[in-house]
Amino acid sequence: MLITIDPADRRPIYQQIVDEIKALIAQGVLQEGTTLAPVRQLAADLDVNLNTVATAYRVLQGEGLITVRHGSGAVITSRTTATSSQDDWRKALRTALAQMVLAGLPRTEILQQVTAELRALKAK
Amino acid sequence: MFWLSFVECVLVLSVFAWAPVMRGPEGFFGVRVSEEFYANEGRALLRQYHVALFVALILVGALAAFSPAGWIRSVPPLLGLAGALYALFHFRRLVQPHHIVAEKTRTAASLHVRRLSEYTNVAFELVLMALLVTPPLVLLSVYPHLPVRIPVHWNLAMQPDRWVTRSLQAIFLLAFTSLWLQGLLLLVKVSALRTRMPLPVQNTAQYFALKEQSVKMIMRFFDGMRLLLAVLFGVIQLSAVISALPALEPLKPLAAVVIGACGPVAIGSLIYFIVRSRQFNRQLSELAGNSLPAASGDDRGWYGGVLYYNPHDPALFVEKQIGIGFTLNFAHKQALYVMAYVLGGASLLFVWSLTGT
Repeated sequence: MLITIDPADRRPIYQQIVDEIKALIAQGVLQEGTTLAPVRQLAADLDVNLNTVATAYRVLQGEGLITVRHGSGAVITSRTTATSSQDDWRKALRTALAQMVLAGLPRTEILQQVTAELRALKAK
Repeated sequence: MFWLSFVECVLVLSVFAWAPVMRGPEGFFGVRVSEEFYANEGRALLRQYHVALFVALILVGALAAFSPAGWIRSVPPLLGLAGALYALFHFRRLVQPHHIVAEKTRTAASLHVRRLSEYTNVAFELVLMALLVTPPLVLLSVYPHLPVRIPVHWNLAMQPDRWVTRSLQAIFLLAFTSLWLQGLLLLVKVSALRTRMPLPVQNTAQYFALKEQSVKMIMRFFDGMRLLLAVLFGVIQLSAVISALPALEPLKPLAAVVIGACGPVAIGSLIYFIVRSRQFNRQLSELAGNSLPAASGDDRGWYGGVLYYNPHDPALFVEKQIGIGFTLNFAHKQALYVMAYVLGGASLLFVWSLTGT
């Protein structure tokens, strides 16, 4: 249940938190019913503003992955997003693959990397 | 009494001597400095600081030796403390120009909720509750049989040397003091959990596991102190009954042994706690390497390395820049409640002790 943020990353910090939590859900590390660290605790640990973590939790709630109850914290309620469409994830996949191609990686290595990541995510 | 005060001064000054180097170059006098400065100019400054503390100790000792008995004798230790604090702030000011700003680095954190209930043993709390509640109940039940003047302080030979007039105020002062101290130690336990806990990006899982062990040790230590205080205050309260009722005279030596043992047990536990804390800190440092973000960001909000006021920091408790332990973020709303409990409780008990005797 460990996440990492990088100030040098171009993505906003809240997006990094969202992506890290989604990855943990996809890997099966965060199961349904798991309670996440309160906003204040996570903000203090990461040394970021309260609103940054609150925004991340709001985004995750909007996608149907967590439920935030005032006083009880945020709980994982689903391991599948409620809002993303085929278009959304195809676009994300195309972008990631394009970056790998532009980095000069051969097709076989791209396939190896994708397979390794899928294995890590324990996709069914 | 002079030698007791002198030993107290030596202990306090030892803490002051050690505090600036507890965190190495990460917190030299509470200032992050380079390894090079720490090993060279820093060492020279540290020697001057230690000389200043040693001179303070000699002066305090001389003043105490020649002070007349009475309240004046408590003045030299207070002057010594003021002198040590001045020396600490003075040398911190000398070190501060060599401060290096921590780069904002990658940070890891755990999503695990840190709850006090995970470090609370129900059976232990029930035993503690019984130890806190039983002595005042016993006192209440024998209250009509207590003499008009009851002893409240004993010398080293367990002979009473101070008495108060029997009253409910006097009887329950110790009980409420004990309860207040329990609350204080619980606050410390909470602060250990709620302090910012950034993790390094290398060896993150091992670091987190070791940090958890360190937190468990802190929890066990403070639970031990709570138990010790409950026993000590309970026996002191019951000593009033033992001294006042001749039928309970045979229990006096037992009470004396328990009260006498509390001091060495407390000191031994504290030494063990400090040694283990240092071991943990060393192991954690080795695991983290250079990848651990600064515990409290940069110098924003720090005053003299001991006072922290940062409205942009969501943490209520932060690790001190100097010494071990935590301090409050005084910009946090809840800091007021904590200070109200600590200072308000202490003031109330102090006034109670003056009016009730």
